[in-house]
Amino acid sequence: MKKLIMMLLSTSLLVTGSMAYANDTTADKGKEKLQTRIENRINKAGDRASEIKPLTDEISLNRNEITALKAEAKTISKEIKEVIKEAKAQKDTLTDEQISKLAESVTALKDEAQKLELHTGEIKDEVALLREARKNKDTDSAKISLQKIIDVQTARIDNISVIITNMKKLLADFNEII
Amino acid sequence: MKKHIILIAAMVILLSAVGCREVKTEYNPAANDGSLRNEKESTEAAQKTEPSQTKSDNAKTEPEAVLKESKTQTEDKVSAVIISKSDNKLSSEEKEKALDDMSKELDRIIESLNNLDDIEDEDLEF
Repeated sequence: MKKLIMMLLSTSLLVTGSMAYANDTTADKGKEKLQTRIENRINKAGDRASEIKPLTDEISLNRNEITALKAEAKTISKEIKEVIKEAKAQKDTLTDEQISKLAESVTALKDEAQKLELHTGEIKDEVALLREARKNKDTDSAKISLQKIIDVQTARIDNISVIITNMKKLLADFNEII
Repeated sequence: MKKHIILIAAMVILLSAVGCREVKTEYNPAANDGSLRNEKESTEAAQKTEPSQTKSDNAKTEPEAVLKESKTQTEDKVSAVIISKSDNKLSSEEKEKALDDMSKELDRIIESLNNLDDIEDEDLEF
């Protein structure tokens, strides 16, 4: 009887010991898997970031340039409006030729502003597509949207620069007359 | 007899004086240059005003034509200059309206600039 009890005890010890060992090894394997999965994700995210970062950096720079150009255009516009007030005060001294020259310059400005209006909303549309691409972790689509945004921004920079040049010319014309 | 000689001598002096004055005005280089310059200026002015004159085929140019016929060539050039300076068809109100329109157009351009869509910072984070 004693022998039987001893045998049962030793068997139970052996079984629990092996079970504990088996548990440890599976846990280690699981941890390893998780680790590799995290590393893969980090690597993928790193790749995606390295591909996308130059584009987002360019967008940021363009955005700053557009903001600066818009501010410059507003300042010159205010100056022109002040000169227009002065011109109105002495309108009788203005000749028809001078008025038509000024009107021509304003028309050139208007044409350039219309070009700008034609592309209004394009960035908004691309941002919607960009959000969708990010949600789906679709780097290629995100890159396409970012590049399109850069193209729109570049066109805007050109348009606003032309507007500023025309505004400066108009201001000079007014100053010449008054 | 003496009276006759004095009279003739006086006439000769008078006539020669008049003759000398005419010669002086004809060959005075300064005066000549000046008149040439004036003529050039007036010719240039007339040339400059020619296009505006051809453009404006309306009632306002009719008195100008009448003036041209009635005066000499030099006078015509002078009158052309004067007319070109006063060739304003726009009334004060029209000029003011044109200037107002320019101001409004500038406002519209600034509005277009303000309405431009942009990308937010959060959309640039990946």
